[in-house]
Amino acid sequence: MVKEGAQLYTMEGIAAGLIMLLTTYLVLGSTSVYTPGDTHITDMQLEQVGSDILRVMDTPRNLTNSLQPNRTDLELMVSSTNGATFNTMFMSTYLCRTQNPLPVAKAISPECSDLQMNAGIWYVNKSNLLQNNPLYNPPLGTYSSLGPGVRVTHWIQTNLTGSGVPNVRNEPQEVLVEVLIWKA
Amino acid sequence: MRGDSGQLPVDFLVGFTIFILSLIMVANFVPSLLVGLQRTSGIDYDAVAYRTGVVLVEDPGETNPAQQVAFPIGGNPAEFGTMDWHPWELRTDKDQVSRFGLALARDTPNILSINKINRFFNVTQFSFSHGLGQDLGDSDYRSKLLFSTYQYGYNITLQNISLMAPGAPGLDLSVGQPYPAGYGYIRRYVLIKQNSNATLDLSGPYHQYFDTYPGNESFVCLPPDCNEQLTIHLNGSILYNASIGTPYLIDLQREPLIVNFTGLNTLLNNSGLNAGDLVAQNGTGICPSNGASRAATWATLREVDFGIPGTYNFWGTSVPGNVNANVWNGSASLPLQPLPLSNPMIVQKTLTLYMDYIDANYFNQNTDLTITFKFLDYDPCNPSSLPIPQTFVHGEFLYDYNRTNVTRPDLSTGMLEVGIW
Repeated sequence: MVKEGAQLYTMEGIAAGLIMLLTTYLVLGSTSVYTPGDTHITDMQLEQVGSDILRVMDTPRNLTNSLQPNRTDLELMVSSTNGATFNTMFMSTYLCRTQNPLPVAKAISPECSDLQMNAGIWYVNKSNLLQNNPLYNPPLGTYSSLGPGVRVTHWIQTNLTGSGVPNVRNEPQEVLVEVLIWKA
Repeated sequence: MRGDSGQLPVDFLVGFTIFILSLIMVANFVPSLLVGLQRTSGIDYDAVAYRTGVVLVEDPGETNPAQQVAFPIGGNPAEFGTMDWHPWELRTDKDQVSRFGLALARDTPNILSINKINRFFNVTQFSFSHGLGQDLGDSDYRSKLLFSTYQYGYNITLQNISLMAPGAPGLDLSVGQPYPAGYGYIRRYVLIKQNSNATLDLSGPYHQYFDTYPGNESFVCLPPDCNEQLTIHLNGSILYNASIGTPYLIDLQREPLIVNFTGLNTLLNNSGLNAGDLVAQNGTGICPSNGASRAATWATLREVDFGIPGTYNFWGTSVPGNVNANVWNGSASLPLQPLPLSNPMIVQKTLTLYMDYIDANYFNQNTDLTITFKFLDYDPCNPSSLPIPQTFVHGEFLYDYNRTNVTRPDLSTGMLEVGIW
């Protein structure tokens, strides 16, 4: 069986092949450690800014005479399902400002105009189940993404009765506002 | 090898395979061991900028731990110890500040105090006569905000987005150096709480402000009902009511008390006199040339009583907190300095009381404090005579959350940027 031709035999050939495949796999796996780090920082910045925006939009500007908190911008937009105004305020007033005062440093994303967002709310419906309703949907054709998206959420308390939101309970409740931001 | 054949034995192949696998695994681990030593500017500077932004926006700052005491807003020192409770922005010595932070309180992230903002961004001059007189320098920002032995470059900018309170200047504040080509960055959106204030037009409707003498529809009073006194009433249980959220609290322990009385001249008993009649000055007032037995176009403020008997007199030097009262004399605002009682203050139209803050020992959630302005006039041509009724005013003004009484500015939105390199 063993001859003097220096040829590889079946078992040795398989072992050598496995070694090469394993080496290739490990080498390729070990070279891509650092690049996701930069991406993560950018995502973190965007997530922080988005969280700040929702918090600012959901803070009453003052007390009423009865010392009860005013309804906030965010609550008014959600309870009236005014997604267009929400998008304008979120993107133009805060995230991608185009009017004074402009940010003195770079934008969160260098091409801020490419940022897209999708907003929706989660609430408990009449059947005591969680239900989702869109608040703002971007134009068709912008759902493709060049990178990972960022998800920002904020709880508000409101009464959605009469808001046009389907199948909603007729009482105040906690509503989760969810915003997805990505680079189209 | 077997003889001169070129074939590997199986046991050698197994040993070599194990060796190669071990070598590959070790080589794979080495980069992970060095991750902590790796320095790429994008990661490091962004992280420092993020950290700095969190400290500024979500933390109220901290005083020197040796002098710090846990002290809730509106609290009474008698309940929480007698240590120095003042927040960092009210410290007269900046060395007593251990960490900057602009948040109103620990439970109000993203809501900044205008007083902390003004103190933090004050790097050029701080000329208030009532303390807080030290400028902040580069080393202060490094040691109390950046917390690093590495000499980071930094730029911190705050701009208002929505309008500030009427009459208040817009914010475009910055500290640090100009941005270089590359830097770490974070942007935070914030709300800015501004100070409340009250302006009382004494020529306006009586019932709008005052809660005494409810049957009278004017500030004007006539002898003998007139006591010639204006009182500001601060009720701790109202101002520090637990139902008021921290962002909307009128916290006079940490923000200034500002009260403007205007139109005082409309309440003076000056009938029958013209400005041209005033020709002589005898040290305590202006003596009318026609011999009328009273002062004419001014009110004479003799005393401001802080309601703590025998201890605090406006003309003395020991008052609760710092007092900076101003008098408008018709063309300029003059600071009202501590004066001896024998040298009273002449007020023509406007009287402004400005107190940086009120010490918690004198005003807290359990305190009812009144500040009374006492007017009293003598015949300037005959100072030794009995007092004459001149300033026909009386009443008590409750400083509370009623927006008819007290101007409470809305929270303004703003944008804070932090750059690190």
